[in-house]
Amino acid sequence: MDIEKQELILNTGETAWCEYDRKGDLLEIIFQQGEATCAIELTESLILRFDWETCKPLSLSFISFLQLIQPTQYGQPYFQLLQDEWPEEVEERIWTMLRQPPLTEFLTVNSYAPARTSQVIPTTGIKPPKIPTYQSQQPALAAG
Amino acid sequence: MEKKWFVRDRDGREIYLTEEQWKHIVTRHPELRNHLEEVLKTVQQGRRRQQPKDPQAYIYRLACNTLPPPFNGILVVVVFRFEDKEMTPNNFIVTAWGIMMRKRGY
Repeated sequence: MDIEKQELILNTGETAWCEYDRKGDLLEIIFQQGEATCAIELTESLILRFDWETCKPLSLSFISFLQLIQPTQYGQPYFQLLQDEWPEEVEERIWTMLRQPPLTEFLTVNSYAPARTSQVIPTTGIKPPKIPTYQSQQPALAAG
Repeated sequence: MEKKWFVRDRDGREIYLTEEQWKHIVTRHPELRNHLEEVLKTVQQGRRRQQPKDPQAYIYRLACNTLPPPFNGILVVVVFRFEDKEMTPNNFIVTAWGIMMRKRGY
């Protein structure tokens, strides 16, 4: 394992820790040590662990972190929030956390309104300035 | 020599988990304590989905009813790499979580 750890001072003054797994390109931001009582897929690449009772985020993980923060030819990418995958009893808790620090320090909540439909798709963008940019060897060719 | 567990996914790809990685997983995500077999089963039997921005990374998901509620599923991240000049596949589990997911046919 090749894990790089870094302390991060949040806007609230609290301390968080970043753990970056170079081989796996996985970043986990740990807001609070402890055993989570729930975890959810925010997007296909973001996992949120939190305390069910207090609605406090414990950690936020970014799968394929270096790929996620690469800008596209049209600018910053936004990712669909997997609202349809969230059990009903947890939806309100997730929206509450997404609109409060510390998550607002790392994620924005946006929406995409496709043409010719009234449906609105919730999305999230990653705020790169607050994420430590780790230099990593880009993985070689895919085997899968 | 470090201990490794090897499994094959539904399409026959060999994937391994090192003991060191497993220890790190249960330290970070203790809901998976005592669920090594279920994590490996998730890779063996779960559905895999490619990461949107990384063609070398996949997640595997499977329902699991032995986790402490409200956890009801396991999500495993696997990366597919090649190593050495012979391009030997090196496919390994990066991490895993217990998750809460909407109940349907996973």
